[in-house]
Amino acid sequence: MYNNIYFENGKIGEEASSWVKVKAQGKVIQKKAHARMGARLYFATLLAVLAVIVVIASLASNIIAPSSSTTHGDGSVPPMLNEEQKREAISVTLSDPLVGNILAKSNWTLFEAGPWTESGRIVGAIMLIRLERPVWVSGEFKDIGGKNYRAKLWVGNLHVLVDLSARRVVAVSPGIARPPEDPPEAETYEALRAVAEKKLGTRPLLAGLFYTDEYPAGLAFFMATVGDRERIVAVDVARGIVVDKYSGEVIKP
Amino acid sequence: MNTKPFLLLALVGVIVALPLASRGATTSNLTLLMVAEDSFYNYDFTSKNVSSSNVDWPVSLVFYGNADVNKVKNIYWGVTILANTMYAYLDDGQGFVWDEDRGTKGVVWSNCTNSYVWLHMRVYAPNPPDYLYNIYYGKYVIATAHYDQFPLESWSGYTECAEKHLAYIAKSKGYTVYQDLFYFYNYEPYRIQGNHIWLNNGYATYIYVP
Repeated sequence: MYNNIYFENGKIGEEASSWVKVKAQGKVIQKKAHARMGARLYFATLLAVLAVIVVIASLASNIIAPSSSTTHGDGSVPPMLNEEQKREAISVTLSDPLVGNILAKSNWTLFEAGPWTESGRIVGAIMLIRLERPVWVSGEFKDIGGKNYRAKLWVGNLHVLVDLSARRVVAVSPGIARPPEDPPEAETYEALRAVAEKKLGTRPLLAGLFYTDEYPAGLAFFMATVGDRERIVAVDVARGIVVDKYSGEVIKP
Repeated sequence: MNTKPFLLLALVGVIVALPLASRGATTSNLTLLMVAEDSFYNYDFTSKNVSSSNVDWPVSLVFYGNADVNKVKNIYWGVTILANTMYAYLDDGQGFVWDEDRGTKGVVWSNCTNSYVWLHMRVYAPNPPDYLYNIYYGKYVIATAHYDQFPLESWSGYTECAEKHLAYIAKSKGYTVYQDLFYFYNYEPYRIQGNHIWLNNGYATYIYVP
């Protein structure tokens, strides 16, 4: 077993082969065959690096920086939240009954926080809060797009929009998480699960239900993992049929 | 990967509410980029009007080598009709033209947001021939990317996360990816404007399409 291969003074190829020392079981020995292999490896690596450099250089050729005559904007950085505004936004968020109740059930991380701007002026804050483990939530949500809807779902994150001057949460958008298990009321939806199971070929977990203008009786989402493949199936509660727009394989990183 | 359900039944789902992101957002970074004899703006637009108050998303991906619009979409979910049309203004050396696209779109798990989201990419090139060409890039297209909230599409954004997600998918299918290769002058710090959640580091990812 060879532990180390040494190249001295950057020598390569045949010349390098005589300089290579291979340490075997604690003893330094000369071994020309391994030296050649090492030199080839060195060459191959060098060529690969050069190839990448050539590709990047050719792509970079002729990229021209923008000129003032074609620029629509001053390139200025938008206003950002200061630390006091961030603290205020978090304080308002935690005091909101719906959000506070969700965050009390899991550890969470403030992943992003930034300004909510209108006409270039800060009117509030947007925050992405990620939950450490999914929380089953049933509630009324006023979403960022302005819609009100009812939903029950495993929540993996919350987007919270805070009006800083009014000191209130104006929108909460929950993100569907991977269901860790069936929620307590899952048995109520066994008929819907059977529809999803028929489509998936395996018994899925209920991930959530959304009650919207289009689906007043609800749109149920079921998830299943088969091997390394994850699939999602949406079932129209009123009609008991799969809604294909929302159904298919999920690509996961 | 079986993406047929999304593609085939997209026709049925067209009645579902389209994203609210049709209102133009505002940026202070809109500019023209030039490569050899070609030019394109570093954002796409919500209508055929070049204005910094009419942008949709930053251009953050270039597919080059032997790319065209449909070839690139077929790396992902193919053509979608489940999205609004947006516009790019570009010049392949023969004068500026508008191109429009709805993009390619599918459901993914985002480690960035820790939730399921729609991943949506719009791909642009003059049509015909549906690609740009210069001697450095070969046949190439430009693209914008973002997440849409799943399933209601109540917000859109996270260009940076979407760009990396698309790069990951291409890489997992054997394409050569150069992540964040060149600066495209469209850095956007985290913030919300309407239902537009900005997040972009300004560097575009290049993906080689043989």
